[in-house]
Amino acid sequence: MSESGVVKFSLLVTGNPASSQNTASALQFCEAVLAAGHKICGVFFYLDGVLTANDLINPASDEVNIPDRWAALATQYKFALEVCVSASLRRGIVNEREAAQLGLQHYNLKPPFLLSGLGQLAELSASCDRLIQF
Amino acid sequence: MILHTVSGSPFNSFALKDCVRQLGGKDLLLLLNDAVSAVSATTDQHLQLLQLDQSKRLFVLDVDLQARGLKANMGQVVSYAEFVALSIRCQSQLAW
Repeated sequence: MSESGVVKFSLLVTGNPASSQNTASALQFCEAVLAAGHKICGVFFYLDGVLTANDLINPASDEVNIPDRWAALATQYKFALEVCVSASLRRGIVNEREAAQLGLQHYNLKPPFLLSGLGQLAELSASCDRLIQF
Repeated sequence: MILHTVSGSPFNSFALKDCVRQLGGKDLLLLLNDAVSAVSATTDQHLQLLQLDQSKRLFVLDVDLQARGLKANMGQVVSYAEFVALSIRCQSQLAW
């Protein structure tokens, strides 16, 4: 932890945004971290958590659009939204490059989410003061 | 000191049961999501939770209680801001 009292957090999100409260909890925790003046190093989406990066998610207008909230927070506070590539491909979350390589007609990774690997989770875990899993 | 977070309801998962079995002598327990029902209804872990509450090591997330219309019969009811503070107080976190 730094002398200024600012704590660096990384988050690990594993829940399906449509069927579990997990992603919403992580989002609210993230907002509380930033409101307290602490720092988010990055958020890693793994297992069903990768479904949060689907750009085609479109809930009813009176519901919270969780992927939009993540994207807005990450852009405002300049932290990375990392998505496990193998968990993503297994669940149909594809970026432009993977779609071209695999000969798929479409891609649906929501910007600024990034496809990355478990190595990046290790990096996030090593570079932060606290890793919090949801 | 570890912050244990339990999310699953004690009525359809073993998370709470497994967690209290592994809890260290100074560790803290935070209940969130469906796990908040453990401080509102009587579970198999009732006695262990009471002991944790007496040593001020049991916490429950307020918004998750409210969302379910439940009241806490034990534990300290905390906000997300206090959840952040608890995670700083503990050296690491373990999600069940």
